[in-house]
Amino acid sequence: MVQTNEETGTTRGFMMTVIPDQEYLASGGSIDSIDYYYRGADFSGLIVFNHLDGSFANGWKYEEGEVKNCFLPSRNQSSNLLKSVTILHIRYCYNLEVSYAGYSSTKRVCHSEDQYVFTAAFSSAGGGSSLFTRPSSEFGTLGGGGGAYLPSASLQPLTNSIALNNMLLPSQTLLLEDALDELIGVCSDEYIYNELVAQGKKFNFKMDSSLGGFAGYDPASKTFSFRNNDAISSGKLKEEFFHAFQDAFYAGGISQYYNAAGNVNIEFEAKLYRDITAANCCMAFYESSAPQSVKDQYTRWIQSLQENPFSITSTDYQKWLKLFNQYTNSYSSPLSSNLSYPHAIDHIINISNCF
Amino acid sequence: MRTSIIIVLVLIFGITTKSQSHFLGDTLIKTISVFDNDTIYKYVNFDGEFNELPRPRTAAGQIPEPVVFNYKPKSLIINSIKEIFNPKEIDELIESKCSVQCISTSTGKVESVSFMFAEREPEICFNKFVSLSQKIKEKLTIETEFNMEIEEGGYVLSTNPLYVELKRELSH
Repeated sequence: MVQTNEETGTTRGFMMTVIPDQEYLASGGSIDSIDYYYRGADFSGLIVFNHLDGSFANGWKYEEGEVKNCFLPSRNQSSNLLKSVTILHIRYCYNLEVSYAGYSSTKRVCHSEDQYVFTAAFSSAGGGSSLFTRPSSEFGTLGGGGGAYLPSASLQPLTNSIALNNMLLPSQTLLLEDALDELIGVCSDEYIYNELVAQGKKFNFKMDSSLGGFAGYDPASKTFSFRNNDAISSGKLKEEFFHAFQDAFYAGGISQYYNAAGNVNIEFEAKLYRDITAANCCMAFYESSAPQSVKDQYTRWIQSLQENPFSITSTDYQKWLKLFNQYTNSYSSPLSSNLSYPHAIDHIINISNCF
Repeated sequence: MRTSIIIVLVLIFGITTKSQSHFLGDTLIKTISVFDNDTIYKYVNFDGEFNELPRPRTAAGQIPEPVVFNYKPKSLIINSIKEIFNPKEIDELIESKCSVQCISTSTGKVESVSFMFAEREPEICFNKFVSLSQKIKEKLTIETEFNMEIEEGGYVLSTNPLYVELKRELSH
């Protein structure tokens, strides 16, 4: 199916599979007349939607023209590609014995029930398959209002709230949703996310296999980029997300500091934020040529800030900023006097109620 | 003026022969370093410079930054502390601002466990730290996520702020 929204001009595509029940076919029903907008007054069976990358979107169970159940992808099955849907027609039989006043009779009673069996390949495992099946009664009944293709965005509220142009595949969007969900499990990161949403900030999300690191944030285009699917994780997103917060927080954004004076201020503040909020330390001086005694002392400073974040002082910050600039060539730049204090971190510490 | 002094004090415990990579097996060496008038006491399980160890590298030869250190099992260090140290000694660990410094491989194996104290040393039998170091090496794995794809494995340094965790634990 390809649909175009005449008002916005946007186009979307998806695949639709119609699987009729045996009884429906036996009673003369046909699937020839069924399309996206017309399902037939007496259609019984399953209609399954897949995204264009093949991953499962959602499915609907119909009985005599009415939607009875909805099948939605679960988070941890986000990378599954639906391979097949089979209806198992199961016939249950038992002997019913009736005794009354010395008279007894036995009658064999049977009834039938349909079970839907989904077969999915784990794309991330590079092969293999798994089978998952649930009786239809486990799914919530949506009544007659269902039946449509549900794009990922409608199932991904965290991503949807901050996405301007989401160029990720549906399966990658599910990974992003999981990463955001895990990220906001940390109180201060939840504050950052909520602030960005409250300020109406919107970002682009895209894949970029030429990226040097796993993930990046470009303040000029307000774009988060990921090198591959493995890059879409909370750990790799955390520092980039803080950059997005800095971009929103500092007047004029942070693109003015890119490859210019102040670049090191922006980078050091982001690494300091990561170190203060991490369970285990320390990343800021990791790739630097600083002697171990300097790194140990930095670790001590971080621990004292973890104990009491309100104890951060301008003097200490400037001392460590200068050392970071001295020992970490890849981020080194002239210092910016506007950013001589970590105002973004200070704001989070004082306003978020997380510390 | 900034000063950096490292004094190696005493070799106290252990008989393991040093390997080429300077990991000290069941030996801890006591050192004191001073930087900008702050003193750090360490019981080190490694007698070289971490910067000299082979580090994980990308295909382009860059050293990637770690973005997450996942200690597994997460509660191993705290549980081991409770097994090895008595409540008075745990107070000492907090007072001396004890943290645990691990050198692990990029595949997660812990090769060296050292201890770092600020302001003062704890008044605790040294052997207990050797036991803790051994236990952590035996039972802990450290999964490290990097900011770039690594092509070549190497050693990773991480520090667990033990006294901060112990303080939180006691306050609950």
